[in-house]
Amino acid sequence: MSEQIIEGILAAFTFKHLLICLLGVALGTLVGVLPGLGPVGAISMLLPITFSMEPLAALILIAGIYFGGMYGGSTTSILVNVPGEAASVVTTLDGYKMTQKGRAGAALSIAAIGSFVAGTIGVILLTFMAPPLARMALKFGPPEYFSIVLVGLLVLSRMTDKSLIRSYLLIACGIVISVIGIDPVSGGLRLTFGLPSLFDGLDFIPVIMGLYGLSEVLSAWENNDTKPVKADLSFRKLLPTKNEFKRSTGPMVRGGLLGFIMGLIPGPASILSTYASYGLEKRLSKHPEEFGEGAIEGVAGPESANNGASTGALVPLLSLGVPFSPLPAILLSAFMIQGITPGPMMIQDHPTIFWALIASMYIGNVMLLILNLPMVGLFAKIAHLRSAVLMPIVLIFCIVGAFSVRSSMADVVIMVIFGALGYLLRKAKMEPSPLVLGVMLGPTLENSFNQSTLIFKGDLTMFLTRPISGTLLILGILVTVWPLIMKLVRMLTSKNKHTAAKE
Amino acid sequence: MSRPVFLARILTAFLMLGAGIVTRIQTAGLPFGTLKRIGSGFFPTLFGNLMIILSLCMLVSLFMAYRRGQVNQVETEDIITSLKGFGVFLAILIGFILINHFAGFVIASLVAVFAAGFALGLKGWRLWVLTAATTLVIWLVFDLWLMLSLPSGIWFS
Repeated sequence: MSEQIIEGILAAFTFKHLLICLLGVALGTLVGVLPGLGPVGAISMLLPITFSMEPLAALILIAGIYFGGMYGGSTTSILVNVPGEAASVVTTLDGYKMTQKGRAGAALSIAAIGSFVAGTIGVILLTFMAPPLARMALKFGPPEYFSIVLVGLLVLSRMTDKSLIRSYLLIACGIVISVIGIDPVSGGLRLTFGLPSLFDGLDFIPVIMGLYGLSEVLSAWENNDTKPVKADLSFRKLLPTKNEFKRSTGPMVRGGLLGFIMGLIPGPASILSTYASYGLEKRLSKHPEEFGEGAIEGVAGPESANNGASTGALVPLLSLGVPFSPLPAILLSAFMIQGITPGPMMIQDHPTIFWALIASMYIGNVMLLILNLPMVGLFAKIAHLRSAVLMPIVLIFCIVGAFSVRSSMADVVIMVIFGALGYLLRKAKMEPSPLVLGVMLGPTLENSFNQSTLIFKGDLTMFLTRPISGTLLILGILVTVWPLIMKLVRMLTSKNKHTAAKE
Repeated sequence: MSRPVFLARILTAFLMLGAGIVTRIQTAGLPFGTLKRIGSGFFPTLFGNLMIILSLCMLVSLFMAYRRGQVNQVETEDIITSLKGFGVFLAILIGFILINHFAGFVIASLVAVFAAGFALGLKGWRLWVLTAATTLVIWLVFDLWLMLSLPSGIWFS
């Protein structure tokens, strides 16, 4: 077996394959930066290039595009507050704030380094722990999906707003938005108002582009007088300071591990992992008040978690041949086109290709860092453009991004509506991420609940009696009500003290 | 909280209340189902009701905050300026949608970028360069390279 590993690694390190990996990373980053496309769009569009290539070269190219697309999505989140993909939404919370403070370079650098660290951790774990981890992932059934999504909605949305009422109101609104369209079970229409363009429901890309990107443009008028931050754009100043590096190290490692573990779970793992990492770092931080105002940990953790989850999602694909989310599903089709069936027999039937692919993932991570770190200066200059130059570009890219999802102007109209809503939420000082979570996770919540009640014939106690589901729900409920209980205790204690003092 | 934030939250709460009521009305005819087999109306009804309840709670809490004097009556930002800017860009977007319908995506993009740049104070050759360059990049990248098939409009189809 060690001979096969060495053979695979040597195959990945040929000049031709290194060049192909670099090309994949560059293309993936370029397309991933384009709003609305993200890594799924990047791989889908660039897949035909690989048809005429030999299997190993094709898979190496795809691995490069995969990681490049991930990083590209975070660039626009940090620079112009437009998330390139769903998993980059959390990065806008602190990444964009850092840009506004003239620290765009540091944010982009940490995102690149964090992605590298998490990717490295992920590839090492993937190499040694793929089969047992995949078997663990198979223990997740509909009740577990439901519990993890519900806990995620209840717990993670509270990170961005102190008010329970406002957070849960936006979540409820997001879930209602997610049911628009044809019911997948009965085929009936819900909340379509007779409009054919709503029959397929709302895609979340126009929603998030409206809430974040377009609302930024709609605010451009009142912010136009604000002079752009004059920042030193010398290379040294663009990199994170020693203190920023020190503060980011822990979040990067924790984010990478957390993301990888959550990536094993079927469903919207990369989205949940970014929120979970953000919440974790906020709790562990000595300065939690800085979160939402440009805390470097708020960029390092989620970006690492996103990359870690992307690598973790490959475990079920490579070891079982089962993709648990859309991106691995596209990778599966890429494998099949090349005549390779991922799964337990892949190591046996194609050992060189398997280990070469693992090695090329690591090489792709290194190349991502080498390619993007020098470009941080170029990207940071974009952030320092005048609003009068930048905002029209952001406007048109948002429109194109929304249109590109389904080649439909209806998505542009939806983006405009959510842009107006995002503007209103901005004025109300309400963070839109709970609404975004509701939109993205609503379908999974409903489907898993539906399947669970069907399987267990309406017995709701199964959510608590199944070990994984029960543990998650109890933890989630405790985390949700604990602050309320503490608040009540503090109120009662202060009341008693006040009464005692009076006496 | 400041007065603009207070007003924006009131408006948000009423919007959510309205959305919840509309949801309940629209999904009234859908089957709710039972726990053994939930119907298509289960989730919209449940979360529509939740929206109504939570938006009413939000309105009550805002009213209580107002009664307690927690709303700062000093204007921290010019609401009229904010609404003016919002109106200008909304008009640009609506204009884009209309122009796209007749003249196509590329021409609509040209007009939108020009209008947005002009509205934000960009003038002269910079405005023209920005407009031309952005439109060219959009056409080259999305129409030619990525083959997105941008609409050509009624006049040019």
